[in-house]
Amino acid sequence: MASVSVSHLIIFIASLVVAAGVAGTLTTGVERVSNAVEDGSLDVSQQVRTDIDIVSDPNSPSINTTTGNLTVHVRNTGSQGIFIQPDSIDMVLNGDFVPNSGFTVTDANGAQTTARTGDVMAIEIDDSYIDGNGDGTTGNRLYITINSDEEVYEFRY
Amino acid sequence: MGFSVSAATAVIFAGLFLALGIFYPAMVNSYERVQAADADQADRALEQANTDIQLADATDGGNQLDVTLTNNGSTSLTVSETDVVVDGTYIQRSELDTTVVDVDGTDDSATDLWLPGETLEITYNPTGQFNGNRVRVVTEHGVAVSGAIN
Repeated sequence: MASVSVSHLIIFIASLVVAAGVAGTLTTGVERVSNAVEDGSLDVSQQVRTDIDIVSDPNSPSINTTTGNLTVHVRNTGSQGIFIQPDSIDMVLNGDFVPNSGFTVTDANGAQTTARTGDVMAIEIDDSYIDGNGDGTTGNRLYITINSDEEVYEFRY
Repeated sequence: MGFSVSAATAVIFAGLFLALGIFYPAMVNSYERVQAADADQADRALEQANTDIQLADATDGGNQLDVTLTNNGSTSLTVSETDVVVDGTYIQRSELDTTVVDVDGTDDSATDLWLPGETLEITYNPTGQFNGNRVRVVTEHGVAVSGAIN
């Protein structure tokens, strides 16, 4: 009789251990997924809130006569602040990716480090990425991507 | 044996409840966050569609540029967030003098509001002679007008 009770107790403990293991694994897995979903929703909401617009006139691009650098002004029309630093901006000019060392970005109206709604940033791109000799016949196409929001600026140089 | 099954089932169900308790708020928060951003974007799109400005006149006054614009839309615009680009060169907002002429014809150079039907006069007075052929004005939501300077 005693041996039956002991074996029952052992099976009882074993079943509890297995059940606790299953429940623990499930909870950990769900917690990880929940954290990932929260992070993902934060990214998505920031991408939806980010909206930019090109201020510069395509008809007369601002190209410095001495350095040959192109300056493009970009306005934040979304409800998400944008850090005024090259890391925030991805650019492709005429099919070539412009690395962070190939351009500088500044606040167009002051010395702020964040462009909030309605603020304008000035992006100055090195002349080596621009096609054309200045006679106004060569087309250029610039893609600016900030937080998944893409704008196109086309001009002749 | 019978009690072991019941106990194990109870533990697993407790784990399921806990997991659901973790998952539900995370999903609700995430959904609401994206929903709020979507609603915000829809609001912006509506305001952008309702915004309309017209370049009435751009005159080279010798030493200065005078631009006259009309708010033909149905949204109120912010004077201090209106940008002027002359021949591709961005003019800093601090260099612009603005006057809003309301529907009664009263001038107000201190206001920051440019309401529907009102006229905005922008004066850019650079040091020395003004030179320029083309002006582009960009207001809120990226709504822009451009034209030649007379």
